[in-house]
Amino acid sequence: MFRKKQPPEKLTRTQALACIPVKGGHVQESRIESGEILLAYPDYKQPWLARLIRRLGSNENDGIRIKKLQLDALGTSVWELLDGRRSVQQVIDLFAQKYSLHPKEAEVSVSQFLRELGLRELIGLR
Amino acid sequence: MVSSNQTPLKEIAWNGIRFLAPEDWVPAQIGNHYLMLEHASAPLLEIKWGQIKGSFSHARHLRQISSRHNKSLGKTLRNWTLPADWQKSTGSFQAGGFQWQGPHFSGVGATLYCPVCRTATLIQFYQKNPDVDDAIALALLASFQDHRNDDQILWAAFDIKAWIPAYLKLWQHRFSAGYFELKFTSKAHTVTLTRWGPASILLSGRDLKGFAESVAPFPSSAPPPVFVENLKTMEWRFPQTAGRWSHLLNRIRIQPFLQQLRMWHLEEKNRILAVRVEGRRPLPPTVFDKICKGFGCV
Repeated sequence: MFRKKQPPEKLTRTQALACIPVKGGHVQESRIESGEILLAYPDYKQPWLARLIRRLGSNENDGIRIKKLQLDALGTSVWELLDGRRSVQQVIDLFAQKYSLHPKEAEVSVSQFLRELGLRELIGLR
Repeated sequence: MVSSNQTPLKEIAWNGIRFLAPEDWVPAQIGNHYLMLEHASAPLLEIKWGQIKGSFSHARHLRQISSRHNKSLGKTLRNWTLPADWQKSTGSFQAGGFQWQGPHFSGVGATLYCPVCRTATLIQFYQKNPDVDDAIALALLASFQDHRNDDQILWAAFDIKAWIPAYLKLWQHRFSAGYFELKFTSKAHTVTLTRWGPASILLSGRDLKGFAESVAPFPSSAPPPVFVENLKTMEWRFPQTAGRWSHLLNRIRIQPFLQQLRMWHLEEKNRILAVRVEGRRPLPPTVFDKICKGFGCV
């Protein structure tokens, strides 16, 4: 009970690049006029915070509100490459090829972007 | 270029040294006199170099490095006789070999000393990595150079390549995704080389002039740019107002003026490059032109 929790095992670089990023089913995407993608996703609050909001008489429904995230042109093209079949490495290769980027540069920017999406729970890794 | 085992090679050059390395070896750490190359996040090669005052002795140098490494990195170094083909590859350098053992890696290395420019270089190969084979090490040593005779220094890392006059010393460098910057300084000037990418995104909905104004705010009195050679290259010159007071003010000013800026779009590489000069007076046009022409993407 009081045993210290073991930290989750870290993925190696090779393992991380072989993972397949999958879009979350709760994410709604729409395209805005400029061609960029707008993502809408529910932001679930902590249960205690949702209860507090309800007690305070807020209009927010069950503590869920819809958050929006507008991707820029590069983010949009990475998002479009996520088809649930391509691995992170394949996404990086296609992205580097599309914009004639240095492989290392593409790897850094795509993995950073995917990390951001993961932190917001917009994608998962399989 | 291709090495003996058919690995494509590319040139890496930094602060006076240059050599050929497999094209998938990329710099993981860059210092003023330090390079570490990796492949797939595994270290492969470390190079350190510097000027030596007085006489050079391989044994003494190794002892110094050894004591430093034992203390800080837990590495142990011991003498190693360079194989005959390694010795041959080092050419006119005074060369010695060493073996090293660290907590996670081990390897072999060579110290090279050039009596002409008095530069000593330490090259360490990470031997446990299967990507380092003998043919690559030999190709690298055979291509290694640490000086030129024309007072020009080559800088080549990732996909940029630039020839810079030797009197301009590296001050700052930055390699982040989409933005590379090398800043050089001398007594009178600061020269900044910048590379942006991908240009197709950065120039969507605006032209090169609009992009330049967004990244390099100009004074309101800035003259319009001129096109150089083609419509893809723009140049701004910022002449200072003439007169005794302006001249005096110029001399005591702490912040130097932006003097020249040339920006061009490399369409085939999908990059934007720029050379920016700051100082109390402009760079001579021939020097500025030579720097711009020597800066490109590979």
